Amino acid sequence: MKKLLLAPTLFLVSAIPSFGENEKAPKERPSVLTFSDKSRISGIPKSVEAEKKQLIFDSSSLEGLTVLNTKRLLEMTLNGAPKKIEADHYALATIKGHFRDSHRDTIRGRLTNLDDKTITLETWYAGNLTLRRSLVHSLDIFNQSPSFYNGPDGPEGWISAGGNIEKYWTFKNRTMISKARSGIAREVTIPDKAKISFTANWKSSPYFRILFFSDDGSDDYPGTGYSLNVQRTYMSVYRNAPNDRNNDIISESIRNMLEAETAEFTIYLDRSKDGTNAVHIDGKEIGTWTGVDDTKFKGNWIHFVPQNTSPIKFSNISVSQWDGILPAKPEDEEKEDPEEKLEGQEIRLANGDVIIGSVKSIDEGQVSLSTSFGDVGVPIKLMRSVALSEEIDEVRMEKNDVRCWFHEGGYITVKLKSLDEKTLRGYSQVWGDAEFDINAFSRIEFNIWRPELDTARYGSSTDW
Amino acid sequence: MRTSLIAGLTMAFLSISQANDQISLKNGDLFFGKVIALKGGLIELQTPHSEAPLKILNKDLIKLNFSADYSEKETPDELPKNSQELYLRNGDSIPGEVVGLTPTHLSFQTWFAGLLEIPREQIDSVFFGVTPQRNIFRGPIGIEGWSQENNGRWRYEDGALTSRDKGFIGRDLKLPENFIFGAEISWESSPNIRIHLCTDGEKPQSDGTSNSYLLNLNSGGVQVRRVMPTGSSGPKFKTLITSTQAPGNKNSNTCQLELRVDRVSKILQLYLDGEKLGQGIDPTDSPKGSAILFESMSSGSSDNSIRNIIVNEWDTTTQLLRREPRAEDDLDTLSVDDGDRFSGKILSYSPAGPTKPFTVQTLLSPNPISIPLENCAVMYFTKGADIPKSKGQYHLALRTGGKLSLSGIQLGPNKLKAKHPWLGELEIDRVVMLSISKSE
Repeated sequence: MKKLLLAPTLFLVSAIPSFGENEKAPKERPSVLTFSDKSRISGIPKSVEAEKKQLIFDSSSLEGLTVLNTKRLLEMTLNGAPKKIEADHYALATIKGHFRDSHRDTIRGRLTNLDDKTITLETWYAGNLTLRRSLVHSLDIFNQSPSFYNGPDGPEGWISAGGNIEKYWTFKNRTMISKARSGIAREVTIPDKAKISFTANWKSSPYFRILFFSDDGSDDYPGTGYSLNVQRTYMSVYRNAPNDRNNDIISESIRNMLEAETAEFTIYLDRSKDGTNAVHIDGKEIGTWTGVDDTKFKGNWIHFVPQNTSPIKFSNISVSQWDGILPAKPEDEEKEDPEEKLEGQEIRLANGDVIIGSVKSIDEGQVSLSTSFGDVGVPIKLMRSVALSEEIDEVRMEKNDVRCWFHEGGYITVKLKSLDEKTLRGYSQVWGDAEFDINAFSRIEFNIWRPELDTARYGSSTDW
Repeated sequence: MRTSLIAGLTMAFLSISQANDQISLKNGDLFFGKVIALKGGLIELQTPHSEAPLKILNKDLIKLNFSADYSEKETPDELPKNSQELYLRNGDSIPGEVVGLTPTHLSFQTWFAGLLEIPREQIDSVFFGVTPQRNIFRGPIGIEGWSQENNGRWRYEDGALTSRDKGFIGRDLKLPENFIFGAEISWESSPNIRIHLCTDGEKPQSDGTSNSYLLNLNSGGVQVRRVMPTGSSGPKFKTLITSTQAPGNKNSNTCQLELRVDRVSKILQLYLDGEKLGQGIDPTDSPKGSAILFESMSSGSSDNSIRNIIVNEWDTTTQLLRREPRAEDDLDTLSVDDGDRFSGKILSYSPAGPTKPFTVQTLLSPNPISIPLENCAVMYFTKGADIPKSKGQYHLALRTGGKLSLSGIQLGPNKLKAKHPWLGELEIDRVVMLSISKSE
């Protein structure tokens, strides 16, 4: 284990609006309600009473205040101004899933306490949130605000190599569908350890390329970057780094795609020189690569490029932080760790060191750890992750649960109690009751556990 | 079991709630429900999203589409049919029947707005033999219900079925024996599309689309051919109608295609952009199939699109709509079904007579000529002194064809009360209403 150089850490937390002085405050833009029958109403939400399933809404399309019921409400967009936080570190807690649901809530804030029962995050939008540790899947620490992208929500932010997005792509139900071969791209800051995932649907056979770390969003063949190529039953990954020789990274047969019409792709990226990267399709590892320094890529464009004119549908596109740990292969899951386990929790540091110990206290951005080698102090900003309980647990699905999407990306599930123009009040098994500044959220999904609304919410596989 | 039952009932309710009137506003807002009133600048809408009716401000209305299943008494197919359509000089058109004609007025009977007494100078024309037929299909409204071969090269967008590759898309529309097929075809670079009618299935068979009619549209013109059944002797195709008139023009990549098929008397008539291109007789036994297939012949570089597909039953007992143009502006003109035209002054109409004749004083004959109603094709009235075009605040489109310009709309449960700029106060039966849109 390397000798740790621990320096006192100063932190600064400041809250500033994320829009410029001359920009129109986004609050002035109305919210939009979308219902399962495709009704769409814009306006200002005044209040929501969850038990009554009642929403009071002020719409310029309607006379006076209107009382709507939320039984078939799919979502409400919000346009408040989130605060931009400058802090000495950014902690991201990923919550365990709900029963058979693939969504994973994430909460970001400053880590202020960690013990064997709880994790406390200080947030600008809900004050201190004390999380039940047994329900937290992972805790990661970043020295820059974690970047996320979840979409697509519409053509905004995307560009097409062909120039005219609407000519080449259709956006609906948070899905984008190609009309031709012209690719589409957007700039997303990709963290040092990142997970890019998306769902692809096709009608004939899959034939497309996904580019990342590209330096030119307006060109389907940019100068640098990675290209993940899927052609029927074959997948390859090609790397074209600046001032580096070009590499064929992966060439694999993917024959199980032959009869499929959809697949979920996940690309795990660790940009460090020793990092391990991988591509998974439908949860199965297709290939890995390591030993390349991807910090040299300066481009942040992600492209989706059809390779023929048969339409392809891309949805559930997500770019998020990754803890750097690849999913366990089935054959590895039952293996016992041959090393004797040390008492305490595993804390990974930014320089790659690992400390096994227990947290005694957190104070002024400094964690005091008790280890078998004595007490150690670690600035939180030098931590990267804290291994948490592996016990199987899940969060209950609650009536009135809503999914609140953060402007910064990611979301949390809250049992909604009420909502007004400033505050969302709700409960979670993870942190109990809490009040959230509504400006933190870009949209709220309602009736999330009603599968009969999924077609209206996500579209159907036949909906092209 | 219980869960699936509840889910099923919920789905049934949801699907019912979707089959409703639709209101779209300029700001993108969209409402579905049942319009229960329209008055005083407000549209009252019953919707599952609110216990009280929503009060929608109609100042930014783009369009209000009335659901076809509004009426509990009558389905749209059962709506009364009229074989005549009257066109006003402001562009309005009204289905009905001429029941009288005086030197100053024409009496026009409608089932939905009663008897209209219309000054002659406000009338542009009356077309005869325009019976709106039972609607079989109107769409597309999505890709659902359509079958695709060739790996789904067709897509649905913006109200159209579109493909830029070779491939079929089809649907069993339950075509009746006699029908009128109409569609708007558009293309990016050049038209290249085939329409197979009266096929046995909604997908091409192993032997292609045999035993059907084939409508072939490309830059060289339009052709209707009989595709013979597999195994029949002689050539596979018999050409029934051929036109070298290229669809569209340099300013437009769109055309309106119409094919009328009478499988009983084996007559087919082809119209392009309202102009009759020709008539053909099928010398064989007519194909019996009820499906239709669109086949894109595009080679992958440009789109072909089909929208506004309308299939109506063709009641050929009524005369065909003749689209003879106006001859002279300063005279009345009555065209008849054999193409003859009588210009002069249309004096009177005698609906009580055995042949229900119109009387026309022409310049060619000292005596008025009587023309039986059954021979009339189109009647144009003298364009007198220019009268200012008058538009109302709204356009009302009628489910049986026709449109009216209206203001001061008040919609109740059964009737729409409104003021027509020329015809004055009207009371219109709600079941005839297809949509209301704001005038530009």
